[in-house]
Amino acid sequence: MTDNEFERTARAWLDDGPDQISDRAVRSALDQIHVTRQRRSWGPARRFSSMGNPLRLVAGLAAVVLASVIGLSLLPAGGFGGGPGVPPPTPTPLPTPIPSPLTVGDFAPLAAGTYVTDDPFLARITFTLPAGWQGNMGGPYLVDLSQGTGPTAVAFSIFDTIYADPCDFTKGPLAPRPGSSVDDLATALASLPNIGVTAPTDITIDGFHGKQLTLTAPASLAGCTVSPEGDMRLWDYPLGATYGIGAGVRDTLWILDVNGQRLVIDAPEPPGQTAATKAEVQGVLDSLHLAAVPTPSPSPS
Amino acid sequence: MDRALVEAARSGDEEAFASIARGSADRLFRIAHRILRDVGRAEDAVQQTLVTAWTELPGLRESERFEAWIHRILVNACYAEAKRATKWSANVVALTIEGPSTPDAAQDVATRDALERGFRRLPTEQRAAFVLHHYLGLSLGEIAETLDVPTGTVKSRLRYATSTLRAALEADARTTTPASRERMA
Repeated sequence: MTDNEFERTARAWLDDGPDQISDRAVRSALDQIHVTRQRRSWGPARRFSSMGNPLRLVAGLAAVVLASVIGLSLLPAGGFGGGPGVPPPTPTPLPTPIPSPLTVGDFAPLAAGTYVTDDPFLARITFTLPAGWQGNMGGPYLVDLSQGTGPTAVAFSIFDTIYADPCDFTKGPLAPRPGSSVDDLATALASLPNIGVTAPTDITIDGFHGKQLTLTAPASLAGCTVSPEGDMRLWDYPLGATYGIGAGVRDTLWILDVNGQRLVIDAPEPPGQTAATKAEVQGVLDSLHLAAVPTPSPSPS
Repeated sequence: MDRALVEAARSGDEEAFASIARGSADRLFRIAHRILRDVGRAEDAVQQTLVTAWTELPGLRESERFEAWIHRILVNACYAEAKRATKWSANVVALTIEGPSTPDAAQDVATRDALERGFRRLPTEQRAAFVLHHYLGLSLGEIAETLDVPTGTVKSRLRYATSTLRAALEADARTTTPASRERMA
Protein backbone atom coordinates (compact mmCIF):
# COMPACT_ATOMS: atom_id res chain seq x y z
CA MET A 1 0.00 0.00 0.00
CA THR A 2 1.47 3.36 -1.01
CA ASP A 3 1.51 6.37 1.33
CA ASN A 4 -1.30 7.96 -0.66
CA GLU A 5 -3.42 4.83 -0.50
CA PHE A 6 -2.84 4.57 3.24
CA GLU A 7 -3.83 8.20 3.77
CA ARG A 8 -6.96 7.76 1.69
CA THR A 9 -7.91 4.61 3.57
CA ALA A 10 -7.24 6.16 6.98
CA ARG A 11 -9.19 9.30 6.14
CA ALA A 12 -12.18 7.31 4.88
CA TRP A 13 -12.14 5.24 8.05
CA LEU A 14 -11.93 8.34 10.26
CA ASP A 15 -14.73 10.03 8.31
CA ASP A 16 -17.02 7.11 9.03
CA GLY A 17 -18.53 7.52 12.48
CA PRO A 18 -21.19 9.32 14.49
CA ASP A 19 -21.44 12.99 13.60
CA GLN A 20 -23.72 14.48 16.21
CA ILE A 21 -23.51 14.76 19.94
CA SER A 22 -26.75 14.14 21.80
CA ASP A 23 -28.81 17.16 22.85
CA ARG A 24 -28.82 15.72 26.35
CA ALA A 25 -25.01 15.95 26.56
CA VAL A 26 -24.94 19.58 25.40
CA ARG A 27 -27.81 20.55 27.70
CA SER A 28 -26.04 18.90 30.60
CA ALA A 29 -22.85 20.87 29.92
CA LEU A 30 -24.82 24.11 29.64
CA ASP A 31 -26.66 23.36 32.89
CA GLN A 32 -23.33 22.90 34.57
CA ILE A 33 -21.97 26.10 33.07
CA HIS A 34 -25.00 27.92 34.43
CA VAL A 35 -23.85 27.13 37.97
CA THR A 36 -20.11 27.47 37.32
CA ARG A 37 -18.32 30.75 37.78
CA GLN A 38 -15.67 31.82 35.34
CA ARG A 39 -12.17 32.03 36.69
CA ARG A 40 -11.40 35.72 36.68
CA SER A 41 -8.03 36.62 35.32
CA TRP A 42 -6.19 38.94 37.72
CA GLY A 43 -3.18 39.46 35.48
CA PRO A 44 -2.93 39.99 31.74
CA ALA A 45 -4.69 37.28 29.75
CA ARG A 46 -2.43 34.47 28.60
CA ARG A 47 -1.20 34.18 25.07
CA PHE A 48 -2.00 30.89 23.47
CA SER A 49 1.32 29.60 22.20
CA SER A 50 3.71 26.75 22.59
CA MET A 51 6.64 27.02 24.92
CA GLY A 52 9.99 26.25 23.39
CA ASN A 53 12.06 23.50 24.94
CA PRO A 54 14.43 25.74 26.99
CA LEU A 55 11.48 27.69 28.40
CA ARG A 56 9.68 24.44 29.13
CA LEU A 57 12.75 23.19 31.03
CA VAL A 58 12.96 26.37 33.11
CA ALA A 59 9.25 26.21 33.82
CA GLY A 60 9.61 22.57 34.82
CA LEU A 61 12.46 23.34 37.20
CA ALA A 62 10.52 26.23 38.67
CA ALA A 63 7.56 23.92 39.23
CA VAL A 64 9.78 21.41 41.01
CA VAL A 65 11.24 24.11 43.25
CA LEU A 66 7.79 25.52 43.96
CA ALA A 67 6.42 22.07 44.73
CA SER A 68 9.32 21.45 47.09
CA VAL A 69 8.74 24.73 48.89
CA ILE A 70 5.03 24.05 49.19
CA GLY A 71 5.73 20.49 50.28
CA LEU A 72 8.11 21.64 52.99
CA SER A 73 5.76 24.31 54.22
CA LEU A 74 3.02 21.73 54.54
CA LEU A 75 5.11 19.29 56.51
CA PRO A 76 4.13 19.08 60.15
CA ALA A 77 6.62 20.49 62.63
CA GLY A 78 9.47 18.07 62.66
CA GLY A 79 8.42 16.63 59.29
CA PHE A 80 8.43 12.89 58.97
CA GLY A 81 11.26 12.07 61.33
CA GLY A 82 13.52 15.03 60.50
CA GLY A 83 14.15 18.25 62.39
CA PRO A 84 12.03 21.35 61.85
CA GLY A 85 12.16 22.40 58.23
CA VAL A 86 14.71 19.70 57.42
CA PRO A 87 13.63 17.41 54.62
CA PRO A 88 14.01 13.74 55.38
CA PRO A 89 17.00 12.14 53.70
CA THR A 90 14.89 9.58 51.89
CA PRO A 91 11.24 9.59 50.86
CA THR A 92 9.05 8.42 53.69
CA PRO A 93 5.93 6.54 52.65
CA LEU A 94 2.71 7.76 54.14
CA PRO A 95 1.34 5.35 56.68
CA THR A 96 -1.12 2.88 55.16
CA PRO A 97 -4.61 3.69 56.43
CA ILE A 98 -6.23 0.95 58.43
CA PRO A 99 -9.60 0.27 56.82
CA SER A 100 -12.64 0.47 59.04
CA PRO A 101 -15.03 -2.47 58.75
CA LEU A 102 -18.41 -1.67 57.26
CA THR A 103 -21.38 -2.76 59.27
CA VAL A 104 -24.86 -3.48 58.00
CA GLY A 105 -27.33 -0.68 58.45
CA ASP A 106 -29.51 1.85 56.72
CA PHE A 107 -28.26 4.89 54.91
CA ALA A 108 -25.85 6.65 57.19
CA PRO A 109 -23.08 9.18 56.69
CA LEU A 110 -19.61 7.70 56.50
CA ALA A 111 -16.66 9.75 57.63
CA ALA A 112 -13.95 10.32 55.05
CA GLY A 113 -11.61 7.37 55.22
CA THR A 114 -10.82 3.89 54.07
CA TYR A 115 -13.29 1.05 54.56
CA VAL A 116 -13.40 -2.66 53.95
CA THR A 117 -16.36 -4.96 53.33
CA ASP A 118 -16.95 -8.04 55.39
CA ASP A 119 -19.15 -11.14 55.01
CA PRO A 120 -20.81 -12.35 52.89
CA PHE A 121 -18.47 -11.10 50.21
CA LEU A 122 -15.66 -13.52 49.47
CA ALA A 123 -13.51 -10.57 48.51
CA ARG A 124 -12.42 -7.96 50.95
CA ILE A 125 -13.25 -4.80 49.04
CA THR A 126 -11.23 -1.88 50.32
CA PHE A 127 -12.17 1.60 49.21
CA THR A 128 -11.59 5.17 50.23
CA LEU A 129 -14.35 7.75 50.50
CA PRO A 130 -14.01 11.52 50.55
CA ALA A 131 -16.05 13.58 53.00
CA GLY A 132 -19.79 13.79 52.52
CA TRP A 133 -20.58 10.26 51.38
CA GLN A 134 -23.18 7.89 52.71
CA GLY A 135 -23.31 4.15 52.86
CA ASN A 136 -26.27 1.84 52.80
CA MET A 137 -25.74 -1.78 53.61
CA GLY A 138 -29.12 -2.81 52.23
CA GLY A 139 -29.03 -6.34 53.49
CA PRO A 140 -25.90 -8.41 53.54
CA TYR A 141 -25.73 -8.77 49.76
CA LEU A 142 -25.48 -5.11 48.93
CA VAL A 143 -23.19 -2.21 49.76
CA ASP A 144 -24.52 0.95 48.24
CA LEU A 145 -22.48 4.17 48.33
CA SER A 146 -23.66 7.60 47.37
CA GLN A 147 -22.47 11.15 47.44
CA GLY A 148 -24.54 12.78 50.15
CA THR A 149 -28.19 11.90 49.74
CA GLY A 150 -27.79 11.49 46.01
CA PRO A 151 -28.55 8.35 44.03
CA THR A 152 -26.36 5.26 44.21
CA ALA A 153 -22.94 6.08 42.82
CA VAL A 154 -21.07 2.84 43.47
CA ALA A 155 -22.50 -0.49 44.59
CA PHE A 156 -21.08 -3.93 45.38
CA SER A 157 -23.64 -6.69 45.23
CA ILE A 158 -24.47 -10.34 44.84
CA PHE A 159 -27.66 -11.28 42.98
CA ASP A 160 -29.03 -13.71 40.45
CA THR A 161 -32.54 -12.46 39.72
CA ILE A 162 -32.83 -10.15 36.76
CA TYR A 163 -35.96 -8.83 35.09
CA ALA A 164 -37.04 -10.13 31.71
CA ASP A 165 -37.80 -6.74 30.17
CA PRO A 166 -36.62 -3.50 31.81
CA CYS A 167 -39.31 -1.66 29.87
CA ASP A 168 -42.11 -3.89 31.11
CA PHE A 169 -42.05 -4.51 34.83
CA THR A 170 -45.13 -6.72 34.58
CA LYS A 171 -43.16 -9.44 32.77
CA GLY A 172 -41.40 -10.12 36.04
CA PRO A 173 -38.09 -11.86 36.63
CA LEU A 174 -36.38 -13.78 33.88
CA ALA A 175 -37.19 -17.49 34.05
CA PRO A 176 -35.19 -19.56 34.36
CA ARG A 177 -32.70 -17.41 36.27
CA PRO A 178 -29.27 -16.98 34.75
CA GLY A 179 -26.73 -19.62 35.81
CA SER A 180 -24.17 -18.95 38.48
CA SER A 181 -21.16 -18.00 36.37
CA VAL A 182 -19.98 -14.55 35.37
CA ASP A 183 -20.63 -15.42 31.73
CA ASP A 184 -24.18 -16.50 32.53
CA LEU A 185 -25.07 -13.17 34.10
CA ALA A 186 -23.19 -11.10 31.53
CA THR A 187 -24.92 -12.94 28.68
CA ALA A 188 -28.33 -12.57 30.29
CA LEU A 189 -27.86 -8.84 30.85
CA ALA A 190 -26.48 -8.35 27.34
CA SER A 191 -29.64 -9.98 25.97
CA LEU A 192 -32.07 -7.67 27.77
CA PRO A 193 -34.51 -5.96 25.40
CA ASN A 194 -35.40 -2.27 25.29
CA ILE A 195 -32.23 -1.03 26.96
CA GLY A 196 -28.83 -0.11 25.51
CA VAL A 197 -26.23 -2.74 26.27
CA THR A 198 -22.59 -2.97 25.22
CA ALA A 199 -21.10 -6.34 24.39
CA PRO A 200 -19.50 -7.91 27.50
CA THR A 201 -15.74 -7.70 27.39
CA ASP A 202 -13.10 -9.55 29.37
CA ILE A 203 -11.54 -7.79 32.33
CA THR A 204 -9.15 -8.67 35.12
CA ILE A 205 -9.14 -6.57 38.27
CA ASP A 206 -6.70 -7.29 41.05
CA GLY A 207 -6.27 -10.78 39.63
CA PHE A 208 -9.99 -11.58 39.47
CA HIS A 209 -11.39 -12.31 36.03
CA GLY A 210 -14.74 -11.15 34.80
CA LYS A 211 -16.76 -9.20 32.30
CA GLN A 212 -17.54 -5.54 31.90
CA LEU A 213 -20.59 -4.11 30.21
CA THR A 214 -22.69 -0.97 30.25
CA LEU A 215 -26.46 -0.68 30.43
CA THR A 216 -27.99 2.58 29.25
CA ALA A 217 -31.63 3.40 29.87
CA PRO A 218 -33.41 5.29 27.08
CA ALA A 219 -33.68 9.05 27.47
CA SER A 220 -37.40 8.71 28.08
CA LEU A 221 -39.34 5.88 29.70
CA ALA A 222 -42.56 6.97 28.01
CA GLY A 223 -44.14 3.87 26.59
CA CYS A 224 -42.59 1.61 29.23
CA THR A 225 -44.47 -0.05 32.02
CA VAL A 226 -42.18 1.07 34.79
CA SER A 227 -41.74 -0.40 38.25
CA PRO A 228 -43.68 1.00 41.23
CA GLU A 229 -40.61 3.17 41.87
CA GLY A 230 -41.02 4.66 38.41
CA ASP A 231 -37.82 3.24 36.98
CA MET A 232 -36.62 0.34 34.86
CA ARG A 233 -36.40 -2.54 37.29
CA LEU A 234 -33.24 -4.50 36.53
CA TRP A 235 -32.65 -6.97 39.35
CA ASP A 236 -33.59 -8.09 42.85
CA TYR A 237 -31.23 -8.87 45.69
CA PRO A 238 -31.53 -12.13 47.63
CA LEU A 239 -33.44 -10.67 50.58
CA GLY A 240 -35.91 -8.66 48.53
CA ALA A 241 -34.21 -5.29 47.96
CA THR A 242 -34.57 -4.14 44.37
CA TYR A 243 -32.56 -2.19 41.86
CA GLY A 244 -33.69 -0.09 38.93
CA ILE A 245 -32.43 2.82 36.87
CA GLY A 246 -34.14 5.96 35.66
CA ALA A 247 -34.29 7.49 32.20
CA GLY A 248 -30.91 8.21 30.64
CA VAL A 249 -28.88 6.52 33.37
CA ARG A 250 -25.75 4.76 32.18
CA ASP A 251 -24.75 1.95 34.48
CA THR A 252 -21.31 0.40 34.11
CA LEU A 253 -21.00 -3.09 35.54
CA TRP A 254 -17.92 -5.11 36.41
CA ILE A 255 -18.93 -8.71 37.06
CA LEU A 256 -16.14 -10.66 38.73
CA ASP A 257 -15.56 -14.23 39.79
CA VAL A 258 -14.17 -14.10 43.31
CA ASN A 259 -13.24 -17.61 44.32
CA GLY A 260 -16.43 -18.94 42.80
CA GLN A 261 -18.69 -16.15 44.05
CA ARG A 262 -20.09 -13.75 41.51
CA LEU A 263 -19.54 -10.18 42.64
CA VAL A 264 -21.06 -7.25 40.77
CA ILE A 265 -19.61 -3.78 41.11
CA ASP A 266 -21.58 -1.11 39.33
CA ALA A 267 -21.45 2.63 38.95
CA PRO A 268 -24.67 4.19 37.65
CA GLU A 269 -24.17 7.60 36.09
CA PRO A 270 -27.29 9.74 35.87
CA PRO A 271 -27.66 12.17 32.99
CA GLY A 272 -26.27 15.56 33.88
CA GLN A 273 -23.93 14.26 36.54
CA THR A 274 -21.53 17.10 37.24
CA ALA A 275 -17.83 16.85 36.48
CA ALA A 276 -17.08 17.27 40.18
CA THR A 277 -19.31 14.34 41.16
CA LYS A 278 -17.94 12.29 38.32
CA ALA A 279 -14.41 12.95 39.56
CA GLU A 280 -15.34 11.94 43.10
CA VAL A 281 -16.96 8.72 41.91
CA GLN A 282 -13.94 7.97 39.78
CA GLY A 283 -11.74 8.58 42.82
CA VAL A 284 -13.72 5.99 44.78
CA LEU A 285 -13.49 3.52 41.89
CA ASP A 286 -9.78 4.13 41.54
CA SER A 287 -9.31 3.45 45.25
CA LEU A 288 -11.02 0.06 45.08
CA HIS A 289 -8.85 -2.89 45.93
CA LEU A 290 -10.03 -6.47 45.97
CA ALA A 291 -8.38 -9.27 47.86
CA ALA A 292 -9.65 -12.78 48.47
CA VAL A 293 -10.67 -13.63 52.00
CA PRO A 294 -7.89 -15.75 53.48
CA THR A 295 -8.95 -19.37 53.75
CA PRO A 296 -9.04 -20.34 57.41
CA SER A 297 -6.35 -22.82 58.29
CA PRO A 298 -7.69 -26.21 59.36
CA SER A 299 -8.07 -26.48 63.09
CA PRO A 300 -6.02 -29.20 64.76
CA SER A 301 -8.12 -32.28 65.45
CA MET B 1 -15.75 31.37 15.09
CA ASP B 2 -17.49 34.69 15.64
CA ARG B 3 -14.98 36.84 17.53
CA ALA B 4 -17.69 39.04 18.98
CA LEU B 5 -19.31 36.00 20.55
CA VAL B 6 -16.00 34.87 21.98
CA GLU B 7 -15.35 38.34 23.40
CA ALA B 8 -18.82 38.46 24.93
CA ALA B 9 -18.42 35.01 26.44
CA ARG B 10 -15.03 36.02 27.77
CA SER B 11 -16.72 38.83 29.59
CA GLY B 12 -19.13 36.43 31.25
CA ASP B 13 -22.03 36.43 28.77
CA GLU B 14 -23.51 32.99 29.31
CA GLU B 15 -25.85 33.20 26.32
CA ALA B 16 -22.94 33.99 24.04
CA PHE B 17 -21.06 30.99 25.36
CA ALA B 18 -24.14 28.77 24.95
CA SER B 19 -24.29 29.86 21.33
CA ILE B 20 -20.61 28.99 20.86
CA ALA B 21 -21.11 25.66 22.61
CA ARG B 22 -24.10 24.70 20.44
CA GLY B 23 -22.18 25.71 17.33
CA SER B 24 -19.07 23.71 18.15
CA ALA B 25 -20.37 20.71 20.10
CA ASP B 26 -20.84 18.42 17.08
CA ARG B 27 -17.38 19.20 15.72
CA LEU B 28 -15.77 18.66 19.12
CA PHE B 29 -17.73 15.42 19.50
CA ARG B 30 -16.55 14.13 16.13
CA ILE B 31 -12.92 14.77 17.06
CA ALA B 32 -13.30 13.26 20.54
CA HIS B 33 -15.06 10.22 19.13
CA ARG B 34 -12.33 9.65 16.56
CA ILE B 35 -9.73 9.74 19.35
CA LEU B 36 -11.61 7.76 22.00
CA ARG B 37 -13.69 5.46 19.73
CA ASP B 38 -16.57 5.50 22.22
CA VAL B 39 -19.69 7.65 22.06
CA GLY B 40 -20.24 7.93 25.82
CA ARG B 41 -16.65 8.81 26.58
CA ALA B 42 -16.56 11.28 23.70
CA GLU B 43 -19.66 13.02 25.05
CA ASP B 44 -18.09 13.16 28.49
CA ALA B 45 -14.92 14.68 27.02
CA VAL B 46 -16.93 17.34 25.17
CA GLN B 47 -18.93 18.20 28.29
CA GLN B 48 -15.73 18.59 30.27
CA THR B 49 -14.22 20.66 27.46
CA LEU B 50 -17.14 23.07 27.38
CA VAL B 51 -17.12 23.54 31.14
CA THR B 52 -13.35 24.06 31.21
CA ALA B 53 -13.53 26.45 28.27
CA TRP B 54 -16.20 28.51 30.03
CA THR B 55 -14.20 28.62 33.24
CA GLU B 56 -10.89 29.48 31.64
CA LEU B 57 -12.10 31.74 28.82
CA PRO B 58 -11.33 35.04 30.61
CA GLY B 59 -7.67 34.02 30.49
CA LEU B 60 -7.56 33.75 26.68
CA ARG B 61 -5.95 36.86 25.29
CA GLU B 62 -6.36 36.29 21.56
CA SER B 63 -9.97 35.54 20.74
CA GLU B 64 -9.04 34.69 17.14
CA ARG B 65 -7.18 31.68 18.49
CA PHE B 66 -10.28 30.32 20.20
CA GLU B 67 -10.60 27.30 17.94
CA ALA B 68 -7.03 26.04 18.47
CA TRP B 69 -7.36 26.83 22.17
CA ILE B 70 -10.52 24.76 22.60
CA HIS B 71 -8.98 21.92 20.58
CA ARG B 72 -6.18 21.82 23.12
CA ILE B 73 -8.68 21.64 25.96
CA LEU B 74 -10.56 18.91 24.11
CA VAL B 75 -7.46 16.79 23.55
CA ASN B 76 -6.53 17.13 27.22
CA ALA B 77 -10.08 16.09 28.16
CA CYS B 78 -9.68 13.06 25.88
CA TYR B 79 -6.40 12.18 27.61
CA ALA B 80 -8.16 12.38 31.00
CA GLU B 81 -11.14 10.40 29.75
CA ALA B 82 -8.91 7.67 28.31
CA LYS B 83 -6.97 7.49 31.57
CA ARG B 84 -10.19 7.34 33.56
CA ALA B 85 -11.35 4.46 31.41
CA THR B 86 -8.13 2.48 31.64
CA LYS B 87 -8.59 0.77 34.96
CA TRP B 88 -12.32 0.42 35.11
CA SER B 89 -13.28 -0.07 31.55
CA ALA B 90 -12.40 -2.53 28.92
CA ASN B 91 -12.29 -1.62 25.29
CA VAL B 92 -15.55 -2.19 23.54
CA VAL B 93 -15.18 -2.84 19.87
CA ALA B 94 -18.51 -1.71 18.52
CA LEU B 95 -18.35 -2.38 14.82
CA THR B 96 -21.76 -2.31 13.25
CA ILE B 97 -21.06 -4.30 10.16
CA GLU B 98 -23.67 -5.32 7.67
CA GLY B 99 -22.87 -8.61 6.04
CA PRO B 100 -20.52 -7.90 3.14
CA SER B 101 -22.10 -8.67 -0.20
CA THR B 102 -19.08 -8.58 -2.48
CA PRO B 103 -15.38 -9.44 -2.20
CA ASP B 104 -14.61 -5.70 -2.29
CA ALA B 105 -17.05 -5.03 0.53
CA ALA B 106 -15.51 -7.87 2.53
CA GLN B 107 -12.09 -6.36 1.95
CA ASP B 108 -13.41 -2.97 3.06
CA VAL B 109 -14.84 -4.43 6.27
CA ALA B 110 -11.61 -6.29 6.97
CA THR B 111 -9.58 -3.11 6.40
CA ARG B 112 -11.75 -1.06 8.74
CA ASP B 113 -11.65 -3.78 11.34
CA ALA B 114 -7.85 -3.93 11.13
CA LEU B 115 -7.63 -0.13 11.44
CA GLU B 116 -9.99 -0.15 14.40
CA ARG B 117 -8.01 -2.80 16.23
CA GLY B 118 -4.68 -1.18 15.40
CA PHE B 119 -5.91 2.25 16.47
CA ARG B 120 -7.16 0.97 19.82
CA ARG B 121 -3.67 -0.25 20.57
CA LEU B 122 -2.21 3.25 20.15
CA PRO B 123 -1.49 5.47 23.16
CA THR B 124 -3.93 8.38 23.34
CA GLU B 125 -1.21 10.90 22.50
CA GLN B 126 -0.54 9.15 19.18
CA ARG B 127 -4.27 8.83 18.48
CA ALA B 128 -4.72 12.57 19.00
CA ALA B 129 -1.86 13.48 16.67
CA PHE B 130 -3.18 11.07 14.03
CA VAL B 131 -6.74 12.41 14.22
CA LEU B 132 -5.68 16.05 14.15
CA HIS B 133 -3.54 15.38 11.07
CA HIS B 134 -5.65 12.94 9.06
CA TYR B 135 -9.15 13.97 10.17
CA LEU B 136 -8.86 17.71 10.78
CA GLY B 137 -6.08 18.16 8.23
CA LEU B 138 -3.89 20.22 10.55
CA SER B 139 -0.24 20.74 9.65
CA LEU B 140 2.53 19.49 11.92
CA GLY B 141 3.08 23.02 13.21
CA GLU B 142 -0.60 23.51 13.96
CA ILE B 143 -0.74 20.19 15.78
CA ALA B 144 2.35 21.13 17.79
CA GLU B 145 0.67 24.36 18.81
CA THR B 146 -2.60 22.65 19.64
CA LEU B 147 -0.96 19.94 21.70
CA ASP B 148 1.66 22.26 23.17
CA VAL B 149 4.51 19.97 22.22
CA PRO B 150 7.52 20.44 19.92
CA THR B 151 7.05 19.68 16.22
CA GLY B 152 9.54 16.81 16.52
CA THR B 153 7.29 15.13 19.06
CA VAL B 154 4.32 15.44 16.71
CA LYS B 155 6.37 13.91 13.89
CA SER B 156 7.43 11.04 16.05
CA ARG B 157 3.87 10.37 17.32
CA LEU B 158 2.55 10.40 13.77
CA ARG B 159 5.34 8.12 12.58
CA TYR B 160 4.64 5.54 15.31
CA ALA B 161 0.89 5.73 14.80
CA THR B 162 1.23 5.32 11.05
CA SER B 163 3.62 2.40 11.30
CA THR B 164 1.36 0.63 13.83
CA LEU B 165 -1.69 1.06 11.62
CA ARG B 166 0.17 0.03 8.48
CA ALA B 167 1.44 -3.05 10.29
CA ALA B 168 -2.13 -3.89 11.34
CA LEU B 169 -3.32 -3.54 7.75
CA GLU B 170 -0.46 -5.63 6.39
CA ALA B 171 -1.02 -8.35 8.98
CA ASP B 172 -4.68 -8.37 8.05
CA ALA B 173 -3.85 -8.60 4.36
CA ARG B 174 -1.70 -11.66 5.08
CA THR B 175 -4.44 -13.43 7.03
CA THR B 176 -7.33 -12.45 4.76
CA THR B 177 -6.55 -14.62 1.77
CA PRO B 178 -8.57 -14.38 -1.45
CA ALA B 179 -10.15 -17.74 -0.57
CA SER B 180 -11.28 -16.52 2.83
CA ARG B 181 -12.64 -13.37 1.28
CA GLU B 182 -14.71 -15.47 -1.07
CA ARG B 183 -16.09 -17.42 1.87
CA MET B 184 -16.97 -14.17 3.62
CA ALA B 185 -18.76 -13.03 0.50
